[in-house]
Amino acid sequence: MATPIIELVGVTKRFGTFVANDSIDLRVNAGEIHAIVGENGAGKSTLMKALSGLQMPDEGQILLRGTEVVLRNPDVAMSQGIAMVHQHFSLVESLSVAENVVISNPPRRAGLFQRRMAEKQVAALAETYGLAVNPRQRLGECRVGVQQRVEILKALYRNPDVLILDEPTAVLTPQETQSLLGQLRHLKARGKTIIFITHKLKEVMALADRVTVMRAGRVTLGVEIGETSPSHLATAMVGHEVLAGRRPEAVPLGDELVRLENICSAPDTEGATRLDDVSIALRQGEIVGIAGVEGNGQSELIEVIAGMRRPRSGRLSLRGRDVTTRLSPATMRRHGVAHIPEDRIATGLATPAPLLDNLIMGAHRTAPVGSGAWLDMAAARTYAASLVQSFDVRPGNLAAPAGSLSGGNMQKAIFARELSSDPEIIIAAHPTRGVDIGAAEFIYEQLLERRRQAGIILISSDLDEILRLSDRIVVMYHGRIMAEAAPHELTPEKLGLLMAGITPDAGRVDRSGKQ
Amino acid sequence: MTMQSTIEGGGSIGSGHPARAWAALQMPLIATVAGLAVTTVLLLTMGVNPLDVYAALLRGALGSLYGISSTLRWATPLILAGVAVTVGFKAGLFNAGLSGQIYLGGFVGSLIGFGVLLPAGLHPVVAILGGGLAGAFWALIPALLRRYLGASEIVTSLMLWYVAIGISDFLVRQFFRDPTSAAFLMSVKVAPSAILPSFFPVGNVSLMLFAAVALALLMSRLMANAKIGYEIRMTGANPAFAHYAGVPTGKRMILAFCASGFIAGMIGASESLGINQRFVSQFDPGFGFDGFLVALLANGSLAGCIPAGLFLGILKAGGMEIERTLGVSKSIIWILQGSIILFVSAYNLRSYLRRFVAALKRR
Repeated sequence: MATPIIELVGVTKRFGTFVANDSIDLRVNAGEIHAIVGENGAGKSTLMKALSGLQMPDEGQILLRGTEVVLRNPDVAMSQGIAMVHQHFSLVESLSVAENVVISNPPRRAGLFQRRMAEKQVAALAETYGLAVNPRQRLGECRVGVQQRVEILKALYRNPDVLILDEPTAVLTPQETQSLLGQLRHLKARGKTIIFITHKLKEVMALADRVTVMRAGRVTLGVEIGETSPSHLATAMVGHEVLAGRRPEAVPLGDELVRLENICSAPDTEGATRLDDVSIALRQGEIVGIAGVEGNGQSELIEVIAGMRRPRSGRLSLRGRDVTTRLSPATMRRHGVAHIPEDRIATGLATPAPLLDNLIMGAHRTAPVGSGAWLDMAAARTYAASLVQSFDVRPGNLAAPAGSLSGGNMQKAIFARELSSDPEIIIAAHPTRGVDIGAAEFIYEQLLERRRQAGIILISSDLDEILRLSDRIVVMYHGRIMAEAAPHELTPEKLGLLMAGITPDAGRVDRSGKQ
Repeated sequence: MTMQSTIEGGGSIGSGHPARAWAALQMPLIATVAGLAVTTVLLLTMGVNPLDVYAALLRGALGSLYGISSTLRWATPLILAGVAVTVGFKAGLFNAGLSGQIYLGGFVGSLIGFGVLLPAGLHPVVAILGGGLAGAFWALIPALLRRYLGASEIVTSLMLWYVAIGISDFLVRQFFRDPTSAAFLMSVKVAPSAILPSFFPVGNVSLMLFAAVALALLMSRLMANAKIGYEIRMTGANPAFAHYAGVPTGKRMILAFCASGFIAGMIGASESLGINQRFVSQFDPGFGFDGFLVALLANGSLAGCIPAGLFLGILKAGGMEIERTLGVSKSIIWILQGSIILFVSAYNLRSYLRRFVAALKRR
């Protein structure tokens, strides 16, 4: 067997006590397309950052063509022939396509930028690799698919041997995805080695020669594509031990609290997913977990329920009362909705303001904190101090800015504030993201305890979390509901396939053609 | 917007605690000392004894009854302007159009002064509130444009300044011009009942001074302890958070911006009724911009606008004396003001100083 072009031996990367990559071994052969798949947080991106020189691993070796290398920074990686195409484009909208491509090493004469020369080079490069672009077009005028080609050309401009693509299809339409897959095959034919990070199994099966599956910082499977199947990969991605975990007892179901009927929404902001005919109901006493690969409409769905996004059509009712026309966060909160938002810094807190101000939000409207037109500051401090104590927010200095807390304590502060109103409906988005294990356990306990009096909608990119907490699981893909089932009805294969947009029984791709 | 975020940074500075009050005062004090140092160097290179200059400054501003009256006269609109700017800051808004709201308030205040007959005690109050309403209305336009069309309130409010000048001057020229004054564009005098009386033995220090101090304290308390003030502050600290928590952020922003305009309008009206006793074209010597200096110096604290306004009042009043007795141009005062503001805005200055002191100690 020939020497692999890249070999990782025992690569480990830790962030504090969290092990993002645990002793990873990986071999990538020259000229192959190697897919790396895994859930969010499995450690794929961390591993590729080590390979592209963005982050040094704590332990382990990186061998390039059999020789150990130290990739201190992206420049070193680049000079060793490794280029990375990031998930989020690093392009300048006001510059032309050609200018963007050559930006790392522009052609110069007497110190002056040679625009013509750059355009000629880029046109030639595009021709060689079959990536059609117009070098003179302003990048801001290009469609996303074209911008991605520009990003790939930018990587190819330095003539690397290995090209790493981090979830390249995340932002593409199905048609653009098809065309990208063709372009990657073309690159392979030109002798490039391609490492392709994704969680879309369909693309892996269609494109890769070999596939490595990662889960929770470890490699769980490394296999030739001919020797595997989507369900095999899904099992390796999701893991067996998940379902072995003990589930809490169900509590008796009460009244129906929320009902969404045929909700559709348009993508109003860039990157937003369209909701396509979504219907869900939530009853008191249950946790409904929404599973799905990030960016498949879960965020948009909870924004609708929180009153922060207006659907284009459909009906939303709370305890049987239609509130579709009056949707606003204020309305929803009046009806007893609490919301643990996806982004605790952007939405969940006013980070420059003192913890006190952050904790009394909502409670400030009624006694004892609010009295008439004024706030009772003594009562406010007592109230906030009791929240700090019962949710163990550390350090509980009420005068310090909320932004000075650690992520886990910010999250506890948000939980304290949101749950203190005894809400009937709780929306929890990624409740334990970036939270340490102790705080996560505490948050799980709180959610399970609250379930007795309330209905909870949970979204999370952590499948374990969904499987562990939910009484019912709804799987979303491309803004639609793929399936709804009790956790015990879902095998890991089934869940993985559903999240990849494949209906297990039919064994074929469902609805993915729609966008 | 950088300046704005610099100031808003301190969520609720100046709410009581001595320790926090000291923390809030630190920056302005450091900046003032640094500004004085720069000015001193400049004076030395000019061959002027800086001590003479600062003595003249203090003598002019505080050394006589007349000096004190001059300081208080300037401090009145400066305090109000600082409060107006800070109220906007609290909601995360930048009222760059203060001057326009002042101008229109000055016109409407004088209009009520000469156009309406009211008893003496009531007349100036009504006229000043009328001027305030005019300012609030003038602020409402950019606030609505921001709320519903996403237009930057900085640009629109600033541009409306010119419109305010145009409207006021046009109306005065057409209908209310004092025919005896050919050289300057000014309106007829306000009715004697409308004149804001001076309470000081010399000079012209109107009762508005007390209103300015009371207003600064009232707004400070409203922002710190009233529900509405809390919601405005949270809207300013993070609008996405406030919206998510059910605060009607649009309404709160509009309210804060109109309050800012209302205070600005009162400045104009009190200038018309107290100082000029009529509307005088171009009466505003730049209170709009001075308001930003006061607000920066007060470092986000509404009550802090009182000492900050007095301080700038001292500089304004003392500048004349420097020019008169030493022959040094009073622009030296502007340089002092400017460098103080530069240092106030230099957010990292304190940490540099701390490191510098630490390095000295290690030696």
